[in-house]
Amino acid sequence: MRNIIEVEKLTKSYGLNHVLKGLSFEVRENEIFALLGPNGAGKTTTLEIIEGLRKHKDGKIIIKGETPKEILKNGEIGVQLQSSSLPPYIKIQEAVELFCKWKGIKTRNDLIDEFGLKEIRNHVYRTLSTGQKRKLHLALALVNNPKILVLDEPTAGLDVEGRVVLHEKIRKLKQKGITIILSSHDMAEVEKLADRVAILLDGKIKTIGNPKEIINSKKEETIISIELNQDIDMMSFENINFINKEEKNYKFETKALLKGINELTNYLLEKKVNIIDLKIEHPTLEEKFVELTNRGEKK
Amino acid sequence: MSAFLYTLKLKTKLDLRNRDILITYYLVPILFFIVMSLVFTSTNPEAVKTLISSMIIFSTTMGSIIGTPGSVINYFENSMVKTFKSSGIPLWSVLLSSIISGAINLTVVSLFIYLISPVIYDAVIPGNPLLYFLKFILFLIATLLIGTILGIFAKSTSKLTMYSQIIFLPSMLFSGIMFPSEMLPDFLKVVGLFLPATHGMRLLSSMTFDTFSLSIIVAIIILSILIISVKLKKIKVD
Repeated sequence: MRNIIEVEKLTKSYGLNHVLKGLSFEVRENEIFALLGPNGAGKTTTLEIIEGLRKHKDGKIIIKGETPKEILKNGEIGVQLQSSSLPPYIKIQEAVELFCKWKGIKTRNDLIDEFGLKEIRNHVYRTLSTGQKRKLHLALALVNNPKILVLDEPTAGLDVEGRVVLHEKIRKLKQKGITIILSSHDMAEVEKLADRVAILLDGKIKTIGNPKEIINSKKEETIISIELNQDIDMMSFENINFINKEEKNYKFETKALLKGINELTNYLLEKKVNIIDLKIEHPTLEEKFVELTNRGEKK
Repeated sequence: MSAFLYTLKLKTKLDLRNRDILITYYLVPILFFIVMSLVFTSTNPEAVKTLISSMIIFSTTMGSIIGTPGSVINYFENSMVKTFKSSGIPLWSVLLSSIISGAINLTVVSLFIYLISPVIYDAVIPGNPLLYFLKFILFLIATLLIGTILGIFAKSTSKLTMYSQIIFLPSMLFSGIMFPSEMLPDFLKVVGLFLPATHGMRLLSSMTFDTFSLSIIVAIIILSILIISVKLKKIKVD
């Protein structure tokens, strides 16, 4: 896949606060690329530079061979901001009409239908729920059929149902060939949605790659917890390490899940002990994120 | 052009849905007109000669200096600026449609005063309606531009209220709307010269063009357009 966005040694400061310190990454065509990072890491600043809303100090940013300013002018990028806002008394239908008029296209009523806003098309902006506003802003970002979509915290403030609906929409947009770059605080969301993730820390990319690759680069192993019907003497085996015990609950860690479970169950059969409950906790992107950010903070 | 016309049509509709705008453009000016006209004409029979002009100046100043900035400040809040900029909607279109919408609404109120005053309060209709309308439009544009400047420069609504009152209250007291400015001490007469309402009142009360007041109003218009243009170019996202 060819690169659609190329960011090279990007720097940005607000007064004495150096927010971006030589940020470099690329976004590939038709992928979902996520920027993860704690508050103040520079996610929104990076996205706003890509959107052409902010100027950077040094470095280079090329989007489809053009500068962000040119891309913004040409309307080739769809944007859903973290803090999007519209006039309080504008109706959904009017907002879509307004955005379409300025793009020089016919009113995209299909987007109102697609985002489930048909029933409330005459409701004014100030009366909409957070979820409805998010859907509207996503629909507005798509009026011009952009090839690139920038979503800054797209599901912030949404309930579980709202998140699920929006995740589905984002996946469908990718299927339509749109390249999506998003920022999020929600690790589970990024793990589910993103093809590649960049973890930002202190204005730099700490790690970048496929979520699974990032998780697998994690030091910790898969955790297995078992509850037994009786108390026994426990030990470690070749592929599974015994960590600790609380009453009849035993905790292990393993890098080779199947082999480890095999060794453990053989031992339990030998001891004639029954398993009441078994839990497998895979390492998550959140744990990797915490590990990386903690390491960053210690530095 | 069609995109701008749609923006203008939409802004006019949005203003009519906004309770705060309706209060400052219509409700308060009309209530003030009804009550104060009664007071003015019963305490001073000569007031009928300037009643229409003073009530129009009050309504226009109230709407432009109190109402318009309140509407403009919402559109220049950071998240709204970002939304419009990232969508390719130019900020000038939002601002210009706010000014034109304000002008339409305040012209309606002024026309109401112009037509009703002679019927209810025996107010004297100013001669040469066309010239009167032209002078009114110049004053209206000047005050709307001042209101717009307040709206785009104020950092918060509380500061905006303060700035608006700094212009509005002296305009009511020292411009000759409530009582003839000749009655004021010399110092306050000088203060009055810095207020657009004073020059608006002079323009609308005279049968011809008061050259001094006309040049002040035109200067306000030119200067305001310059200030707004520079500010629009310099607006950045915070």
